[in-house]
Formats: sequence, C-alpha cells, structure tokens
Amino acid sequence: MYLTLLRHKWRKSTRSSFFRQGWGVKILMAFLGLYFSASFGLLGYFAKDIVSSAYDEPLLLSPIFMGFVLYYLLADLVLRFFLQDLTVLTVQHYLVLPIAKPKIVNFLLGSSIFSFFNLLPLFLIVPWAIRVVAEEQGSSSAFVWFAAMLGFILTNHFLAIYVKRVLAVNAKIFASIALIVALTFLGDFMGWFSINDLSIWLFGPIAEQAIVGLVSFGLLAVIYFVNFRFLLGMTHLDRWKVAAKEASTTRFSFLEQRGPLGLMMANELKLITRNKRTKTILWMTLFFSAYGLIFYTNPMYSESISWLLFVGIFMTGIFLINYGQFLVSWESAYFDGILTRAYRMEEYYKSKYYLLAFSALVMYILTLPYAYFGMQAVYINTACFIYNVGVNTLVLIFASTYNKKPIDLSKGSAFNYQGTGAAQFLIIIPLMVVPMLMVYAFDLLWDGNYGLIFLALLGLIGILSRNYFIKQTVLNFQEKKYINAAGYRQQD
Amino acid sequence: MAMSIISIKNLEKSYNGATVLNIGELEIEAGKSFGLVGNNGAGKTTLFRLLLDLILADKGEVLSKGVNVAKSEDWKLYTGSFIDEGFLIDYLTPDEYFQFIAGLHNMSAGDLEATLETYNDLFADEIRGKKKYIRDLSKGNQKKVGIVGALLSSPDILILDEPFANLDPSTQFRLIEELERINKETDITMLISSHDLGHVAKFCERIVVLDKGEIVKDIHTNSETLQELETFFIQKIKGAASEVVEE
Repeated sequence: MYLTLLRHKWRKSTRSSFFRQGWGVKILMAFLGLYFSASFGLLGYFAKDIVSSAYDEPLLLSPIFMGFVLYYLLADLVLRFFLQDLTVLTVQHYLVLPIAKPKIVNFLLGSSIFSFFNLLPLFLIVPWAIRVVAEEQGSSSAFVWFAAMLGFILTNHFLAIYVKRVLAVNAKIFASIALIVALTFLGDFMGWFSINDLSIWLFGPIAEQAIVGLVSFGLLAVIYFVNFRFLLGMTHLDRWKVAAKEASTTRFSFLEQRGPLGLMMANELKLITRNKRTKTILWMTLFFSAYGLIFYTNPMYSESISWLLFVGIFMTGIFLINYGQFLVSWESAYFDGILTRAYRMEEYYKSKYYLLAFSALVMYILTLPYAYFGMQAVYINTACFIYNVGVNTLVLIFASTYNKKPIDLSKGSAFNYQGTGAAQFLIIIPLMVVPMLMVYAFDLLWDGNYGLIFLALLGLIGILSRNYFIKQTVLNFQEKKYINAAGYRQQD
Repeated sequence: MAMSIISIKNLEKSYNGATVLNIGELEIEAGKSFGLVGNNGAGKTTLFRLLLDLILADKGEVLSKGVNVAKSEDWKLYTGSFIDEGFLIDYLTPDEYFQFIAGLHNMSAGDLEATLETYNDLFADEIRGKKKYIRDLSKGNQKKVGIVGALLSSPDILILDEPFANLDPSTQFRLIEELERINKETDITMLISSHDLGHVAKFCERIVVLDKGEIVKDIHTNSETLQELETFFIQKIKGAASEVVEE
C-alpha cells in the first residue's frame, strides 16, 4: 500500500507544473541546488582545517564542534519555518477510499522526509563525523554521533511542520519567531548566556556515551507521535477550513473617479495589495531601497559612477522591473475578461504605464535621503528615475506582449518561479546593464556626468513619445493575444 | 426576416488538424433569443469564443453590426458576455466588480444601484454588502456575479455560456424569468448555450444544434421543439446517424 502511495507521490512530482516549465527555470533551480550542496559540502569538509588553524596548539576538536551544534540546529529551524513548504492535504482523495487513516497519516509524515532541507545538513554532518569525530573518538562513536545528529535534524523537520501547521502560519507568527531567535543570538553575542556552553553541555556527551544518542531518537519519536495524533484528528475536511479573510476596504477612490484609466489603475493597486506574491514584491521593494547603502559605503563602488548608476537604476526601478516583467501575466486568471470588456487596449496599456511610472516616482522619493552621501547621489538617482520612466517602463510594457505563462496569485512567493522563463533573466541586460555601460563609456572617454545627462535625455524622449510606443505595443498585442490567451487558460 | 446583428461567414477553426468548428453561414437576428445546444465537444464554447474574438479563426469571419470583431474593438461597448470564471477579477468584492463595470460604461452610482436592486432575488442576500472577495464565493455565486456583470450595461448583445450550470434550482428559475423579462422588454439579442434542453426550449425563439462542430439542426421554437431535441439526443446515444434537418 505504501508503495502505491509512494508511486502516486512520485508521479505527482514528476508531472507537476515545475517540470513543464521552461529550461531557464530548471537550469536556475539546478544551479541553486548545486550551489547550496557544494557550499555545504565544502564547508563540511574544510571545517576541521578552518577551526584548527584558529588555534596555535593542536587540541581536541570534538568539543569545539559540539559547541556549534546548537547554533546550527537553531538556524536550521528558522530556515525551515521560512522556506520549507508543507505538502499538506494532498491526501484528500484517499480519505474516502478503503485505506486505514493511520496509514494515510503515516504516509503523509513519512514521505515529507524526502526534502532538500533534510539532504543539505548531511553535507555538513558526514564530513564532520568522518574527519573529526571518527579520528578523535573512534569510528563507532562517530557512527553514534552521526545517527544522533540525524535524529535531531529530523526532529527539527517534524517540529517545523508541526508548528507551521498548528499556528496556521501568518506574518505575525513568522515575525515573532524571527524575533525570538534573533534575541537568542543577540543574548549570546552580548554574553548574557552562552549558546556555545549550552551546546557543549547538551551535545558533548553524545560522542562519549552511545546511550545518550538514544535521546535524539526519543525526541524524534515524541515529535512524530505529536504530529501523528494531530493529523489523525484533522482527517475531516472541515477541520482545515480557514475562514476566508475579510475583504479589504481600501478603495483608491481618488483614482476610481478618473474614468477607465483610473479604474484600471485602482484595480491593479488592489491586485498588488490583496495578493500574497505581489505583496512580497512590495516588501522586497522597500527592503531594496536600502541596497544603495552597500554601494555608497564601499569605496570600491562609491568611486565609480557606473556602479552607482547601476544601483540607482536598481533602486528607482526595483518595483517596475520585478512587477513589470510579469505584466498581464498577473492578470492571467481573468485574461478573457480583459479582452472583452468595454475599453480599448490602448487605455489598458496606458494605465500600466502610469502605474509603473508612479512606482518609480515613489522609489525616487524614497532614495532622496542618499543626498547624505553628497548631491552627486541625487543627480545620479534623478537620471536613473527619468531613464526608468522613459525607457525601461516602455521596454517592459512592450515585452509584456510576449508573456503567456499564467501566474496563480494565491500562491506564496518563496521559491515560486511560476511564470518565469529565460526571458525574465535576459531582460535584466537591456534594463540595467545597457545604461550602466553607456555611463561607463562616457566616464571613460569624457565625463560620467555627461552620461547622466545623456540618460536623462533618452528618458525624456521616451516620456514625450510614450503614446507612440504604447500604440506599437497594442499593435503587437493584437497580434499575439490569441496565443497568450491560450497560454493563460492553461492554469494548473 | 429581421435584420441580422451577427453574421458568420465560412467560419472554421481546427486544433492540431482536427476541425472543431465549421459553420458555412449563420445569421443571428437582432432582438431575438438564440439558443445553442450540443454535447460536450460540439463546439459551443469555441463558437462563443470566436464571437468574442478570444480565439482566432482559421478561416472566415464574424461580423458584429457589420464589422469584423477581430478588426475593431467597437463591439466591446455593446456586448455583455460571461463564458466562465476567467471573466471575473477574483480579488475584488462583487460590489467593487460591479462598480468597475459600471464605471467603464459611465453609469452613475444611482443607476448602478437601481439596476442591482432588480437582481436582489437572484443574489439571495449572499452577494452584495458582504466583506468577501469573489475568489471566496462558491462557484454558483461567482456565476451570478458574472452573469449580472454581463447584463449590467444593458448591452445590445448578450452572450452566456451554460448560465444554468452550477446554479441551484431556485436561482435557475429566477434567472430564466429575468432573461425572459429582459428579452420581452428590450430589444436585446441573446445568445445562450445550455445542456438543459428544457430551459432553452422554454424561452429561446430559435435553437441551433451543434454536433462535431457543424450545425445539424436549426429550429424556430414551437410546441414540439423539446420533443424534437430529446429525440435527436437520444438517437445520438443509440448511434443513429445524425442528419441535417433543414427547416
């Protein structure tokens, strides 16, 4: 029976939308996977040399490593809270079939172990066990230590999914968990208490006395049983029903009184503020307005006008690049409606233009405090702002007529690459690299400030001739819309 | 014969070599109610999508008030349509959605309120004034929002695909009443598809049967229409060859 269920799960993942995505995303994901595996593997392998080089005389390393364990497990737990997703109720369709419920729950829990988050720690633990523990305390101790660590990691795994389920994950709980962990690390840093000592006290005995290793499996058994009991009690569908969130009453009524253009902009603002993935973009946008601090405080970059320009384009354009490259895809769920309603497509695209331009204006205002680093920062950001509104916005709007991948707005955004294709990576080049190179060329041959003027001029030309470019966009759209509509209708 | 508001000429659409729709000629008279029936895959939705320029015909054209729908956007101003949830902006509340549609047609807030009042029975107190997004409504209630949204602007042409599916019995009766009233009181042209032969026979003045993408029956409704339709579909299961009946 478990085998059949496992086969279903295998089919589910191999037939999922992820594998139907384009090569761009697959390569990116494979690259990320390899990158993390390699960095963990290398860290695991060389940890011994790194630590021993910190001490002048040779000494036992095991206790030092035991001091790290608690740090690691805490960090691991936090990462899991934020990134690991719950493949919860994919068992609905088994509930009415003659399969014992405990079996279904066991399967659900058991199969959750096959996660990248459980594979990653092995890259650290295995080399530690072999290179440090085995050498200093013998291979049988190393084996016990390894097994015990495995137990702790799986305990973390089940603890994370239990807490995530019970607390019905929301932003406040996320924030408070992050705060608690941050305070713990802060307390450790300030010397109020020592995670290191605690860790040695907790994990030190494991390598010395095999019997203590059983503790980790005891913990694992307890947390597994807690999960099991919880899920078994939740095998009725109505137990999962979450009350639909009350609708927001934010109306943007100022815009709604401004004809079709305003109505559409108001709708799009509602789209952005009422859906998970777009809300994440908003938060990211705020966060990245501080990105310039890295560049302005580092002389390697702050001396170079082209780097500062790069970060200027990035900061004033972060929203329009992030949101704009999926333009229309966001609205894939009701694309048929877009095509039949009583407005002209030119108005539709104009509303997008003004929305993106407005976002650049907001970001520009947010970056004004960079004047602290001198007026040059303001000049650069002003040129970037004008260029973003006059050139990048129009490029993105035109590029959107080639979007045909649907986006499900209700899905969260960590590791969500839905709607992403190779085009999304390539578009960064014209948007950010080209203006940077132009200013670099001016800087090299003449004076970087003329480059700024040149960019601003290009932007102004774009702004003045925006209607022409929007018209071209609509012409292209009319040609492509049937293909796009067919693509958007293929919701998963 | 009355003036036709929609004319279809040599319309052909195929996917991967298989023809899903092939209509030589079809004229739809202004002010009449037009029913479309057929089994799954007969081409009903394909026809409606072609009428709304949502898909591109391989051959032929659809003229709305004499203008090709693929070449002009004018038809959008006088055509109300609801095919599926793909027409609904699901992160809006029903009220916001209605206000959006009304805004596009320059309806005043008062006009909108007055029009929506007439649908109070249909809404059964589950749609308006609730703090709920359309995405959190049941399928049936979403459909009500879509249908009323299509009717809101008092369009000249109304296109509804399977409006009765997913609706509870009371709402079905209420909707038929409402459509009959609108049909009588205005000179709207209605195009409605349905699997429920009874509903269509009840208030459509003309019924076209599609089978494998072709028109196999074209009936001006009379007292025997329901019987005729039932016989046709029963024969289909029994494997009797379907023949084109000209009227």
